Amino acid sequence: MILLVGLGDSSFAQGDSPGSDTGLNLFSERVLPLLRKHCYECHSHESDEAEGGLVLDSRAGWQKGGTLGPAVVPGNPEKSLLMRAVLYQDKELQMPPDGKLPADDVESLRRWIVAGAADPREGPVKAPNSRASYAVSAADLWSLRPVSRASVPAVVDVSWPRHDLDRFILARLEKAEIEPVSDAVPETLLRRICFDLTGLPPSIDQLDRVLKDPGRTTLVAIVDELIDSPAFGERWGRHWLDTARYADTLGGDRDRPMRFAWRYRNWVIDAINTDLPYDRFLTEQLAGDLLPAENWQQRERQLIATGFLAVGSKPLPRILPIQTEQEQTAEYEQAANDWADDQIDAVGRGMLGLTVACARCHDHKFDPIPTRDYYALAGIFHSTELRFSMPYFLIADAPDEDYPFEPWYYITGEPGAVERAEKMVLQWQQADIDRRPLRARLRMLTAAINRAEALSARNGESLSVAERLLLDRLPSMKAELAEVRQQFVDAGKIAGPKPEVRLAIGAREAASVIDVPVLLKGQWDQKRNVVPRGFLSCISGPLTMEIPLTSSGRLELARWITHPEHQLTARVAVNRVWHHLLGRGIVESLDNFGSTGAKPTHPELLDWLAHRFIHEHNWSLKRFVREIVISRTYQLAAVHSDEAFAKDPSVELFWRMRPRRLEAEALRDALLQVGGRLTLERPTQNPLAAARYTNNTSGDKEASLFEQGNHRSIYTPVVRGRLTEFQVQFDQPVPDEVNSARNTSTLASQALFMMNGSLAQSTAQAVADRILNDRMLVDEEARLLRLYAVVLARRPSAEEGKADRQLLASFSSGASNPGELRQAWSSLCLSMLMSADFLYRF
Amino acid sequence: MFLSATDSASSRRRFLQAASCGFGSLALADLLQAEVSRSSADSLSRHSPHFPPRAKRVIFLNMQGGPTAQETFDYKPGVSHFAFKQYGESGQWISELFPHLSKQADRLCVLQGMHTSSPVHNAASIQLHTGNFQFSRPSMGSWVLYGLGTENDNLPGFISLAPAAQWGGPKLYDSAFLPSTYQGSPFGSGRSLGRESATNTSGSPLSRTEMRRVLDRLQQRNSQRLVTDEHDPRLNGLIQSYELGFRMQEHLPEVLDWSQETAATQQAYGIRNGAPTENFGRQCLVARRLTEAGVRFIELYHANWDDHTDLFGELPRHCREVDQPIAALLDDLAQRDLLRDTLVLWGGEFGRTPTEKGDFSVRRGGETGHNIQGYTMWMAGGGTRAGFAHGQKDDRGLEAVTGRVHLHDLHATMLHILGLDHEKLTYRYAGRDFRLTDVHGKVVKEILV
Repeated sequence: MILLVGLGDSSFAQGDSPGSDTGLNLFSERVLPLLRKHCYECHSHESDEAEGGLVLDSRAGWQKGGTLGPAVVPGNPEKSLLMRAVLYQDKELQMPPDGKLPADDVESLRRWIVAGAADPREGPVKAPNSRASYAVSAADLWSLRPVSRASVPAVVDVSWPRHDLDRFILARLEKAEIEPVSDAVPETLLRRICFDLTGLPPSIDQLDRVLKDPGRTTLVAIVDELIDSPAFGERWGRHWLDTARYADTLGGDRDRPMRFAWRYRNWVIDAINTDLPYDRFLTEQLAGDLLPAENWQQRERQLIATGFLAVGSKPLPRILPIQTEQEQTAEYEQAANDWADDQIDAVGRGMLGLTVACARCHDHKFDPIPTRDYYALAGIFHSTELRFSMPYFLIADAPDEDYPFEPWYYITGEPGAVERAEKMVLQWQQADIDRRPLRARLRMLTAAINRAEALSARNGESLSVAERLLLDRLPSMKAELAEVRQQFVDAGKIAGPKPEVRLAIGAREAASVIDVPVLLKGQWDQKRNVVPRGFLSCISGPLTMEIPLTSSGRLELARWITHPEHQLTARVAVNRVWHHLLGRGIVESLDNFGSTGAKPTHPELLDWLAHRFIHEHNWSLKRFVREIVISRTYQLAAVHSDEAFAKDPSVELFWRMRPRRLEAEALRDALLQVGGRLTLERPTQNPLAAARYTNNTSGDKEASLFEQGNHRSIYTPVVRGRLTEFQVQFDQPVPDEVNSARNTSTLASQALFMMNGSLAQSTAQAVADRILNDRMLVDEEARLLRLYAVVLARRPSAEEGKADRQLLASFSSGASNPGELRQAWSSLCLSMLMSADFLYRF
Repeated sequence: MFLSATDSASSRRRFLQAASCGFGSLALADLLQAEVSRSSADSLSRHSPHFPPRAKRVIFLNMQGGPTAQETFDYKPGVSHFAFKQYGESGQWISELFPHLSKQADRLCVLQGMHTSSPVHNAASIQLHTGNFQFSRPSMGSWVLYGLGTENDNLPGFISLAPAAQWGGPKLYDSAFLPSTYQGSPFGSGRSLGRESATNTSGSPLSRTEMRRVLDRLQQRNSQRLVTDEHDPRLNGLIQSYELGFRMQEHLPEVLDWSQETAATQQAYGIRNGAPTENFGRQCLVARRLTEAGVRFIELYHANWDDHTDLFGELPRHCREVDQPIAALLDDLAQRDLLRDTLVLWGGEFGRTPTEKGDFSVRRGGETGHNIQGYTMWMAGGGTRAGFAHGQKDDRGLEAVTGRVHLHDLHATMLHILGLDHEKLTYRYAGRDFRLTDVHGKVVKEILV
């Protein structure tokens, strides 16, 4: 390599003058064809992603160069990055990546540069990573503009709004000359807030309170009680679990159990019930293992929170003894890429509302997300190790599981893995393996600093690209070292006695922290330029954050995402809350705020809410939910209005409430609750172990094992490949990906489930028994009143009473036969359970 | 030949009139008026196709896992390990693994140039069904039902028989953003299919008359709700779902009950206790019964063709399981003059790469991988060119070289056969018009009569 560079200096130093005819000939005859043949695929305006931001199809392209600077220094091959690349001088910069150019071509390039790099090609330089073909630029996409601080609009009818947010709604309605419908009647409203806040029907007691005093004070008091009840976390935790693609098995071909996923599920419920601020909520899920902890309980909680990263559906590498080494490598690498992809999508759509994962194979077709941004994020997750099966995370307390160890070798093909895992448990009890990642970082940093200092002694002479980068980072590495030292000391100070071993799924720092290459078309063996770990370039503003050399960058990612100035995080969060309460998001596509997503119907309101969520409520979900629920907009009736419908048939302007079919969980819980059979306590046993589920479990009915005990449906295990009959019937999605909004299907099979299925039937009978066995209910009138209160949380109208009595009479000749009476009342009850009044919340 | 969109509205009107007996206070006349004026975009009623159709319905024989082409329907001398012969007047080459189906060579229209996008089972299977593996999209059965509506008011219009939980699971019959009435209804499992698969069609202690009384009261409640909220299509759908459910109680167990068929028919389909053909035979026989009943899209599942190794052991077993039942189905449909307007489609999510001849018998050496560059599917009936092979792979069966048909083209062609223009069959969702074929798809005219 040195020989070649020296050669250039000596024999061709007095070559053609810059721009001379000879140089031009050389260019058109030799250089241009070879650029076309070997470089344009990745380095031209035609390529999907200009690698490293460099284009070689115009003069301006190489003059400006890519992220590493100008590609060619005319007259000086030694200083031209292009030459270094084609000569394979640096390990990090070898072009073309699939093999060195023929010596002839290299020589032509060199002579051309020596001759002054004449290049007649006009044409634009491409700014690094920006493509003319993006549908929108960052500046044009509404969701990437800073959150504005809209002022509350003026309205004509000042008596209507109860809250500032109502003014945003009313102002638009007035402009469209639409009159909102009247308020919902108190019973309807009670049922609405109970289902929306807790996923459960109102109690008789709550209904009595509302009927006695239907004023606003009663309702607000009940709202506060509901928000403070444990059921709130079970309801709103379920919403987040949809976003977080929660399941108890791995999905894919083999669908193996993730035996400890439920700890993460419970963490989500608890975090919402303790009103963990949303920014902290996200941070712990991304980087809980990297956060300081005051005591072991906190440490454990934070480790469990990282289950978010591990809980997605993912393929396992299929390793067979007959495979060649290369085939096995392919299996591992593809799996690792898919796992990273799952996390990028969970963060992208789940937290930011952007389909970042689309940029895996090519620059995003519609949003300003270049492939290199995808691989910048991928580096973070490739530097993270997931624990979702053996070996699990080790946390506190004694193993309470039936099967704490799974045959790890099944996954890796490594014999002896079980023994190793057992040894790890022992190590945990005996030593502070918890500080091991920090110790590793200290070692890495010290070594890197030593290397950089040795380089600085060389005074910049012939450093490789990597060496230059390392040297540049010397000051920040020193700062990082000081910080990690402090963390190491702090981590040793976690209070209290060390707890016993428990297991969880989650994430931690990988043994080595790496940046990863762009993969051409997403293919594992088509490696291109290595991209430094980082975030999305389309998010501008004061959000620059450097990722330390020796950590994955998850903590920085979390800080970046939860930065109060981040354009997307709060918008996406408040929009989901709005959707769950009002039935339609201000942005209808909850997980897509990109240019293929829906546009906000009320952009100012969205920003106003986002701003308030951060700055008024300090990211408190409970306070934010309460604010919407007590607004007038939320309390409107779910009724039709011809006039308004004519102007706004899809109710984009929220002139009425949208009815919503109860979700699978709410419906099953409601059926159990009205029958007096719901167990409100959280199950203590590992549900998969309780159900004796393994991935070999078969039989059509095994899923029903999961529903034993009548616990709330959020505790029913979610087996990706085999949802329960109820989950399937009522649209609980297969959680293979982020999916914040539920479908609502209306199928004859649901009708049959309600007509003939055992749950509906036994519920109707249980309700009938409750009514008939209650001695306080002396006559049919009292029983009817109670039936309506229990099942529909309201009183019957006179007409309904009449029709119901007719039905009862058609079933029983008199009150004498208890069997007939029971049949009559359970049939009447069934006609209510099947009705829209019960299945929907209005 | 196709009824107008108001057909189901009028039957609902009749039902409302029936349901309203003894329910005088409801302003029924108004309700019915509203019904007439309501658009039927979400309605299951029959719609006219875009142009005269060749077929009215589809039976998709889904061979999950990726069956090999070069050992089944694409003879590659020097590559194929099993013996091939030419059959019928057409002289189609068919492997010895299909002794029954080979007798029907003249009915098959073989697509030798299939290719697809993803080599991963899950993704490829989802793409086979929805055209897309990245996002949640409606299944082709939902699109067909959306385009044509139902022919039988007593049964769902899109039925999946014994769907597998793996490789897409419910996504393979999901209606995604299409109205839920177009969702596929799954019945049965690989191990059992029959009357008992009509879950929840019985079990109530109520008699049929009693249940009708309960439903009448129920529909009064729902209709009451419709008075205050007449434009909610889901309420409408809910009312319809109970009526369909009620009718299905009687008709679904009936139609799934293959045991009513004669012993000779059962024998023809290979339904014998413990026979390898027993399970798929049941599916095929039920498929014929559903076809007769006018179900629009019927999908049958057979797994698992993911034969990486041991093809001499596994492949003959899979072929034996489906060969006789499928042959019987084609025969039966033809005899009943149903094959003419029924499109039968056979194939999996991709094919398999060839192995060197000789490798095959070596269990640990002769491995085949997933082949997305060239594989084979076939069609029968529905106005396709019988006894015809379209396209070719290279000599090793590795890549389709002529007559290349991508999945999108297959979808476009299937819709075309049903009288639907794949570019016009759109559904507006989240501000965009969606198609089964997205921005792709070319009708393969060469295979049509």
